[in-house]
Amino acid sequence: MSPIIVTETRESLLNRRAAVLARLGMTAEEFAHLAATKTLTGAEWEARDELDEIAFLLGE
Amino acid sequence: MPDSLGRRSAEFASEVQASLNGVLPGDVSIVAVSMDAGDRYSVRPSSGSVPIHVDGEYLADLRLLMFLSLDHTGRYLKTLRSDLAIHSVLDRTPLLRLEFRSDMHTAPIAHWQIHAERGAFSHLLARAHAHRPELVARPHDLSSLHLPVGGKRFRPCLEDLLEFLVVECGVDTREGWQAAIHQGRASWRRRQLASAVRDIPEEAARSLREAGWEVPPPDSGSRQARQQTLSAW
Repeated sequence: MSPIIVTETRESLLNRRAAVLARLGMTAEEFAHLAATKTLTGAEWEARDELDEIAFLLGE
Repeated sequence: MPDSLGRRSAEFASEVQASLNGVLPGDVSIVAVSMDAGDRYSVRPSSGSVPIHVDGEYLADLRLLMFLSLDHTGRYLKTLRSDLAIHSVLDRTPLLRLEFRSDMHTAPIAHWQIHAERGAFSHLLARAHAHRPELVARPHDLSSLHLPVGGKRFRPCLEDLLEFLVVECGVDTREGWQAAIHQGRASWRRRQLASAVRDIPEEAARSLREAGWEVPPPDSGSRQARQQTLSAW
C-alpha cells in the first residue's frame, strides 16, 4: 500500500478551518488563547492538530 | 523544488507507513498533504490517528503529525515539526507526547511531555512558582514541562516510541515486528548521522582520518560547524 498524496487548495483549507472552528464554537483567536492557557479536551486536541496543519500548509 | 519535495515527502511517508504497518495490527494509510504541491508538506495518518490495542481491546490512539520542507540547500528533506502522541480512548486526551519544533526558542527543541501527576513534584513546582512565576507558570500541570531529549539530531524516532509501546506497555503487534523496528530505526539514524556530519564536517573528517581513511577537504563549500544545531537545547 503506497502513501497517498493529497493536494489541497487554499479554498479547501480555509473551508476545513471554518468547519473545525464551527465545531468548536469559537474563533481562531479564542481557540489559540484556550490552547495556551487551559487543559484541552479530547476533541480540542484533535482540533488543535487540524488547525495547526491547516495554518502550516497555508504558510501562516 | 516542489517536485523534489513532493517525491521526498512521499518517500518519507512510505517509511512511516512501513514502520507502523510492520509493528501494529491493521493497515494504516499515511498521507502526504500539500497546498497546490507547494513548498511544504504535512505527513499524518489519513484518519488522523492509529488505533492501539491490547489483546484485541482498543485502548489508545497514536497521533502523528509531521511538517516537512527542504533545507536551505534545497537538497535535503527537513523536518520542521514532529508530534507523536498517545491518547487514551477514555477521554481522548494525551497520555504522553514526543514533540520536535525546529523553531523552538524557550523550551527544548525535542522533548517529552508526560500527562501525569505527582504530588511531590507539584510541591516543588508550586514553591518555585511562588519565587519564579515567569519560569514555572503552571505548577499544577506536569504536562506543561518539556523533558529535553537530544536536540535536533539525537532525538528519539517513531520506532523508539513504537518499541516502548510494545515492550513496556504490552500493546498488540504483528508477527516479526522487531524487523520493522530495526529497519526503520536504522534508516532514521543513518539520516540523522548524515545530517550531523553536515553540521560539523571537520569533526567527521577528523574521526575518519583517525580510523585510517583519507579525507581531503573540499575545494569549496562551508567547513564551518553549525554551532546553533550543536549547542541548542
